Amino acid sequence: MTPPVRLSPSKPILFVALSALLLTACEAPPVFATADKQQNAHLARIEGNVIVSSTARGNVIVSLYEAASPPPPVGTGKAIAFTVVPREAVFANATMGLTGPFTAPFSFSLVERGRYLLRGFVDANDDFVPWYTVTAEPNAGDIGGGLARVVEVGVDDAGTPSPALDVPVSFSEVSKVPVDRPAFELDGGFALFELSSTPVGTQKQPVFLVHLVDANGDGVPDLGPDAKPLVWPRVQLRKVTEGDVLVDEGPSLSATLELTSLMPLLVDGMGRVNATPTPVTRLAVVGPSGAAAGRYAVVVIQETGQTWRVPNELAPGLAEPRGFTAVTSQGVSLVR
Amino acid sequence: MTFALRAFAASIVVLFAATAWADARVEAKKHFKIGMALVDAGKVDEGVAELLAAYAVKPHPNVLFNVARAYENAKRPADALPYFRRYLDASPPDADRVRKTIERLEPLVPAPAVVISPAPEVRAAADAETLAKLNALTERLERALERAEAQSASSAPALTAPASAEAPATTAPDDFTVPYQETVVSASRRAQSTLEAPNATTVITGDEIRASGLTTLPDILRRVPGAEVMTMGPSSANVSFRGFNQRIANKVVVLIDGRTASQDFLGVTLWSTLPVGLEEIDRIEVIRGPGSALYGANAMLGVINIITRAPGTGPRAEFNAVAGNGNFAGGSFVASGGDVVRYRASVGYQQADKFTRDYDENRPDVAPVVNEPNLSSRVARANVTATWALNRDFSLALSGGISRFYTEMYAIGLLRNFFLDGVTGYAKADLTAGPVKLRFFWNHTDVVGGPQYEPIGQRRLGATLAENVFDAEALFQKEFQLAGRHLVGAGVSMRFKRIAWNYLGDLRTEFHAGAFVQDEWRIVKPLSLVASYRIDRHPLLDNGSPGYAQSPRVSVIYSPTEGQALRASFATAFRQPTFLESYMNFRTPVPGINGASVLTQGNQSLKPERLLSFELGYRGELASLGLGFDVAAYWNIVSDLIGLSAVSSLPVGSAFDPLSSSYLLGRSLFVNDPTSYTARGGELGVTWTPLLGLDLRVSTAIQQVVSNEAVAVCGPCTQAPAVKVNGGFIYRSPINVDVSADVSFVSSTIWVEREPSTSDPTQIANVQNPLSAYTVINARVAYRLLNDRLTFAVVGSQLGPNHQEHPFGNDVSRRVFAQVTVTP
Repeated sequence: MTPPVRLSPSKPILFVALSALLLTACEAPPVFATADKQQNAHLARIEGNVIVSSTARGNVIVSLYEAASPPPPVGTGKAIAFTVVPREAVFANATMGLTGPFTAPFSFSLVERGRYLLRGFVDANDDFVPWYTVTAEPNAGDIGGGLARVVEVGVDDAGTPSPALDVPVSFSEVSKVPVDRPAFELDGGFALFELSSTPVGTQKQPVFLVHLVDANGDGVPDLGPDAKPLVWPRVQLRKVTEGDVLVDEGPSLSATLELTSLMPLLVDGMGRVNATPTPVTRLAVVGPSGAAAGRYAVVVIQETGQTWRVPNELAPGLAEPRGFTAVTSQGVSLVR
Repeated sequence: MTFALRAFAASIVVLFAATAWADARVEAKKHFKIGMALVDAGKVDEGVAELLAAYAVKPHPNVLFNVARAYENAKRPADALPYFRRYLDASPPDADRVRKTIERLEPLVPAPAVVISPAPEVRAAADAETLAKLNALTERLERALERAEAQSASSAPALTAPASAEAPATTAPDDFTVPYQETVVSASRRAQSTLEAPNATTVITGDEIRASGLTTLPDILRRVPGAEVMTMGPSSANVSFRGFNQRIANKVVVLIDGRTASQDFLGVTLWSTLPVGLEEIDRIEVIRGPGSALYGANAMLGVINIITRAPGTGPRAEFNAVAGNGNFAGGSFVASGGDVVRYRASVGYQQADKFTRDYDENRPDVAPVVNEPNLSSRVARANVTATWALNRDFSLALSGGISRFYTEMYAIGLLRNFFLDGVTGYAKADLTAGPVKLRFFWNHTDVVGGPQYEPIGQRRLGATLAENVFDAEALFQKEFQLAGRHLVGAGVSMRFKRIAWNYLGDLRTEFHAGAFVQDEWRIVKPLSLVASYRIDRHPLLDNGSPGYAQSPRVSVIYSPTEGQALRASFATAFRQPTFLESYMNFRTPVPGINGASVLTQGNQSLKPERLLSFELGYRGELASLGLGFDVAAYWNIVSDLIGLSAVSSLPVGSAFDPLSSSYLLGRSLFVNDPTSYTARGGELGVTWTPLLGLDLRVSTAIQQVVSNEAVAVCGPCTQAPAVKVNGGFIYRSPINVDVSADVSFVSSTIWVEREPSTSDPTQIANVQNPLSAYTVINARVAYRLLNDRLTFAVVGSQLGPNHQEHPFGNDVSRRVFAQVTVTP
């Protein structure tokens, strides 16, 4: 019988040597891009502190806007992100009546490269809810604030986004929001309609703050492209989709305030522009000519940046599923 | 062929037997079949030589009995008596009858018998040289037999010392029927041939596991026809059968010696944390298809029962060490022994880095939460089992284990790669008293976990969890005759679960109970009917109140010839809602909007997931050719799948969540999918042992999952690979070099996962992620020294092209490592 073949003693040594050779690669695992979109978005962040100087107490809401699309009153931009700094983090157990300043850190995570504006307010009323137009802005008593400059999230030489750190966002008693948002009822037709302020929810008495624009302070109203005085509030009409009155379609159209009856309230005895806005409860508005047929929402933009839109989530049929009490007047739209 | 040549051939087999088989059972069975055929043909000596060759490959008491009977029938009592005596040593159930046979034969024998005695006429015909050769071979044959018996005296089924609730205690009576049948204990809660099993079953033996060199159970399970193994990372894998795999797979019950190894809080099995080493595994039994009729909840698509070696069997001591690239290293020590009280004790350690990382260092947006972001797993474990057997009918087994682990797990929904850092352990007792078996176990897990990476500045999601599960089961089995042979089993079980997890809110407890009965009715010899029924009580199953789930199963098994079985089965199965699905109360941050969260909530009104299954199967063996076949075709209807709903808005009054100091974008609730799905497919597995020491194996599975109602996107349909193929071989050469390899192919899929829109993170949608087909290749080369006491091996896993097995998973890449095994 042929004896079983045995490997020579050197074979195991070779075997182990081969093994050792194969084991040399002990490098750290490489980064691999999976299909996870979260993983592949190379982003940065914005961090800083909120600084609150006020007796008001509440969560601090900080919103992030693209600099090219500022929020009202300057533009019509919407927040692309927001963060909440809890009341406890800002004020801790501070005695009521103290104005601070109180500070607490805030952050925006996963921010794309770009230029940004930060605005916010202290939600003293505890009535802010970001998901609905009727609850997404400050009301009277809230403390406004923000950062005057633009914050930039850039990239370094290697192309890596660089975070914006130590960004201060200030809130001061002097920025206390004086009035509730300009909630209104709508009456009339597309050509000429009237807005009547009406309280909704916890609002007491919203008003329209009417104010002729006088940017250079010379007492003479600034004029718009149509050679008419520029005035706050601004009224815009937005065509809504057939299926959902809360969804805008197409560009905003500017409507014109009928100022004839208001002018005595907007200028002094010398005909100079009043420096302070005049609260009124009614506005007459002339619709733009040449608008396409359809249903239109009316949006009032106050000089404070507060806005109101009708129809909104308080409309019957829309309010109940969202937990609101329906308000018939908030479901009306203009028809052209 | 002359006796001399046959004996010579048999001797060659025997001389190499200890080292030259790939699957000992298959080898032994091949010799046994040939031997019995020769004996039946009147060629007693040639037949005995084959039988002894079978015995040398894998000792089995019935072979000794058959040898003895062959000699007795040939009127050679002197040759028969030694084998009858050796058969008695194994305490067979027919010992009394055998003793009487011995008493009858002894007076016929004037002198001591020899074990192997060539027939006088053959001896006379042989020349002196042949006789000398035969004598030498006979001596070597005897020595080989003794060696084989010595080596495997304890590796044979422990006749007096059960290792687990499901295994030896129930296998013992059948050990004395037909030797070398592939047996399973999982299909009917008793030992039976796979031919008799009412399900499609696959057995992976410990020899196969060790010969593969693989180091994770999911990788080993790829060879099960129809298995879907999804490796997300080295320590994070999900396993399913016949479709419906997912992150946190929860439709397959995983047992270790009958004890639940899945985590009740998620329903998932954390494979890398199991406190058992691969070297301790005797075999893995896999039931492909529904198993709720015996195992109750969650045995919906299959049951994986990992059966460890019986205490006191196998090597007295075994050391293993392994090291390779990817920071892969580990070692283990297993000791086994004892007499009246048998024991097995083990300790082990293993670590591995990820294949790939999701995030780089020093990113300005995302940072690791863990200290070692490269690490995939680090596990230290210890396990001890002891059994005491008074006799064949009464035994007690106690076992316990603990695993200190760090591992990964890919979570569901918007969540991604989590780490789990903690301890898991168990204690278990099995008592066998005649036909009654009692089992108690306690599973415990205490863990800290959370996302491995989190956006800087975002609310942290770390969690703590403590889980305690207490389980008790009583099983009664009885055989009787009534219009055929009946094997009846009945059992009751209870389980108490107590889970404290801050993702659930309050401490949660549940009490479950179940009862089952099964009758295997062998109506006539070729025809059997298996009827099973189980009822489970679940505390929430009736719309939030205690309710019941019923799981019937009926199988008809027809065996036209020995070694062939046709099977038709109907069964239902269910998966109960997990704690996560019932009680979750968790705020998931909306990526990029730190002030917003999505409220993810459990639902206590969930219905269980349901499976209705029809299956046709064939299992056959051509033992003389070493061929085995396993064919199955199934038609499954799956309904009430549990998943997360789309995000629905919350009433304005609930919008602010003080717990997370964030505004809730909406709520996503676990709900039952109103769509039902039909999964149909076929599985084919073939094994072949063409040469001594060489095992070939190939299997393929095709499947199609369709929704029974029109849906825009059908995740279960596109996520199930249409084609899976697995093939491989194991070759144990007579020159002490072993080679094995296996290849798995999985066809392309499309995975539907929830992701927030990059342009507007508040919009969360189901996104389709295509995944290319992939191939997994593993190979091992080993060299055995010092009579197998020392083995060096080089193993390559994932040798095929880099690939992903889930769109969010690691880029799986090659791992090469060296293994050393010492059995002093």
